[in-house]
Amino acid sequence: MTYASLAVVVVLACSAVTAVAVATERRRGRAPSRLVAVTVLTALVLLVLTVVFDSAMVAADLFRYDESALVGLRIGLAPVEDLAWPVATALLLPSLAALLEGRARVRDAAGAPGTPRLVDTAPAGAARLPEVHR
Amino acid sequence: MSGMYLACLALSAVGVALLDRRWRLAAWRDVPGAGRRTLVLVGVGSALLLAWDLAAIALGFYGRGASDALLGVWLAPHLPLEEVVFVAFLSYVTLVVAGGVGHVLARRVGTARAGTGS
Repeated sequence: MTYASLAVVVVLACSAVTAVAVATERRRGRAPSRLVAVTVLTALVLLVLTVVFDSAMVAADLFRYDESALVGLRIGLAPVEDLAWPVATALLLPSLAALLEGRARVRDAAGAPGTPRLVDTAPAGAARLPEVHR
Repeated sequence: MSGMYLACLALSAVGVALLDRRWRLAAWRDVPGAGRRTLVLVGVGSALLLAWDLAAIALGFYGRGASDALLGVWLAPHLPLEEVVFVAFLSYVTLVVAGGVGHVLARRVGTARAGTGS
């Protein structure tokens, strides 16, 4: 196994969480395209930060790589494999946040029977109503 | 200088937290339980990244450098104390950036709606 194949495994696992969150986002009353856009743009911002700061950390000799385990491509001083870190967190965390938040909202709605289901919190026309009690 | 890396991480984390609070992006978001949820998410992200670290170290992909900016406290072979702070920081930055992106997207959608006059 190489550092790159380990990175691919982690990124794939994280993208599975993204896939689930995007597929169920409409159920929580939000547009799936919003989560996709947040994920992609977050990854892009973090990639730029990673190239800058990972390069600084490598230059500072905080850690060293076994060159034989690397693909060999570097962006700045950052091995390309390290770019999988921000990609993984961007895939995992906003999606997990969406899943957790959705549950909290559903629980709130379920805990108050008879009250309108999130109607007052949704901007008019922003999304169709969440299907809380299917 | 010993401890410089940890000091840089701490300073960066404070800066990101100030952005979070000012713009209500993650832990300070205006939704119930935002703080606790952010804590949980940082915990989950940190656990994943630490597992990734331990696997990569065990497989010999990388190891300790000779920087004198490290404190010199090792939690495991090749795993400095600072790495735990770093993985938590990366997780938190991810949530704050995502919050910022969401904020900007929401404003753009709002502007577009207002622009159509509908």
